[in-house]
Amino acid sequence: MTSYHKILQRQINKYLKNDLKTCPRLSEFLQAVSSTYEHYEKDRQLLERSMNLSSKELYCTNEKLREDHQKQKVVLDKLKEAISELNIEENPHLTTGVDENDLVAMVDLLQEKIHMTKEFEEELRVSGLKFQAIVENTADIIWSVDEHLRLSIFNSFYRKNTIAKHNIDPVLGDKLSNIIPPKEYKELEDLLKRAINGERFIIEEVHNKNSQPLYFETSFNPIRDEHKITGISVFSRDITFRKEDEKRKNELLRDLQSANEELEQIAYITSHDLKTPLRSIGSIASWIKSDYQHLFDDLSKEQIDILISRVDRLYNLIDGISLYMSLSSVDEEEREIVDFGQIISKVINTLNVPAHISVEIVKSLPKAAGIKTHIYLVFEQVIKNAILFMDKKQGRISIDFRQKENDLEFIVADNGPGIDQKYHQKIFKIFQALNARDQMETNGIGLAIAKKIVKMTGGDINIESTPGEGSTFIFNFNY
Amino acid sequence: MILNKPILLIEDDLVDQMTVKRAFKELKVINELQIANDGEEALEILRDDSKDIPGIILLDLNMPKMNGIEFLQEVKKDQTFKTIPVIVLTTSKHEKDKVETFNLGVSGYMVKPVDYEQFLEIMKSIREYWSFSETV
Repeated sequence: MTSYHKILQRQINKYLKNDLKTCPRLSEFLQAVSSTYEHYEKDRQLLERSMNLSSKELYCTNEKLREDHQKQKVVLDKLKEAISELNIEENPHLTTGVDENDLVAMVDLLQEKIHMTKEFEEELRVSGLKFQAIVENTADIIWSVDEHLRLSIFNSFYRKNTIAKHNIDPVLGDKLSNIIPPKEYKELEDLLKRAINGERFIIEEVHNKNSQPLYFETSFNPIRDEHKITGISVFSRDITFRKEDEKRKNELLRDLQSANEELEQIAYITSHDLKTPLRSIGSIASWIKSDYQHLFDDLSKEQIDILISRVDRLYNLIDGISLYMSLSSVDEEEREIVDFGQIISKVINTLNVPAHISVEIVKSLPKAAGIKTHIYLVFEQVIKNAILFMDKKQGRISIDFRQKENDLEFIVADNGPGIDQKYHQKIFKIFQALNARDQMETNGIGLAIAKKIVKMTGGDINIESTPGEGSTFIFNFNY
Repeated sequence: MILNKPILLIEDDLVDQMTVKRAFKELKVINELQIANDGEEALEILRDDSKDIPGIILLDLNMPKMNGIEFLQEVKKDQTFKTIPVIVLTTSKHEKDKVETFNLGVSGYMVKPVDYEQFLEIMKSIREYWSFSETV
């Protein structure tokens, strides 16, 4: 008996009549159906198995994928973290426009960042070299410590000095207390503490006190990072030369001062001791002249007059030199508010201005700071000069002033003979009278005195002149 | 009044002493003229009880032993002598000398002129002063 697929067999048994069951023509058909069942069954079983299988695989793959994803996420996070750690805030443009989940972009970014870091490191190296070059190529001893007083920087001068002084070769990170002997360290520590507290200061030290002293100027500078003091830098410079120069300068100054004082003393005494016998000669000559007038002929009368006039000249010369020499520097204590009008009136009154010369004060003279005696002398000499040389029948002298920047400028003008330009500098030099002594009784010191005084105050005196028409003296004090 | 009191001249230079004597003669000054060659001599004269106390002192500044300034410092310490008017008669035109002597209470400061005639004028004005000035 032919066997069919069990489902088909059950259907045949249930629905097919017995005659049909055995009909050979049908059995062929049934055979075909049964085999279709078989095929279907097999296909289904295959499908089922395969379905079963692939779902398992899928799960596994999925699991694996999830794991991978997790790992990737960790990598990404680490990447992000790395990038943000590389001072992204310094270059915020780097991250803008980059998808934080885009691994490739992130890696690019990282690479760029690494490149930049390398460049930065190179810059750092170069600037480090530069810094070292600066620190080394100096005559200063340079070193610094951190807040725990450990050496953080030092140059070769420091090293050399430390080896020479303490017989220790210093190494970065050394504690100063291990380098410097306790007694000296105590002093230094006090100074460093001051700097740690924020004080910046300079001290002078003397090394090698016993033999040839060496002077050092040392500055202590707190190093600030943000608002915290993280260390101290110390710069020490050998100022022995400067010190010696200063000492020499002071000695010279003292010598100069005492020489000056001596000179003043000599000038004072000489003036007195020269004038006294000279006055004796003059007095006795004039007594002889009046007591024995009846015994004199014209020649001896003329001679005794010349004798007296020469005594006068010498007397004036000594007075002038002594005055010129006694003019010392501006004494601040003598400075006061001076009434120029009052001073000039006094000058004019004491000068006995001849009747044919008028002295005009153009506008009311001011009050200003100055030293009375100096101002008096300058006006006296300038006006005296104008009176002395006046060659016109109607002499005119005018006194005026103008404000020039911060100073008052005084103008004394006359209608006298004037002075050729080539003598404009010469007239202010001592003993440079332009006329023969016998034509004009001047000691040649007056204008030199005026110039010395205005120069002493920081001012100046100049002349403008047209020969034949007159001269104008322009001067200012600068108290 | 000073009229009949002696005048004390403190002056080291012989010719300057002669000048004063001559001027006194010309101006007919009859007061006794006491002459001291320096400050020390002058103090001796002042302290000499046998001598009259002068009505006026003419004082030179530059002198040996005790100079005019030192003399003034001594005199102004003395109750009896500090009221005697002192007129400085000197070669020095120095501001410092003027200030210092006026601070020590002198009555006048005269600079000796080179010309005798001018000196005479100065002596005239000094005499005017003592002719009219009362004394203590």
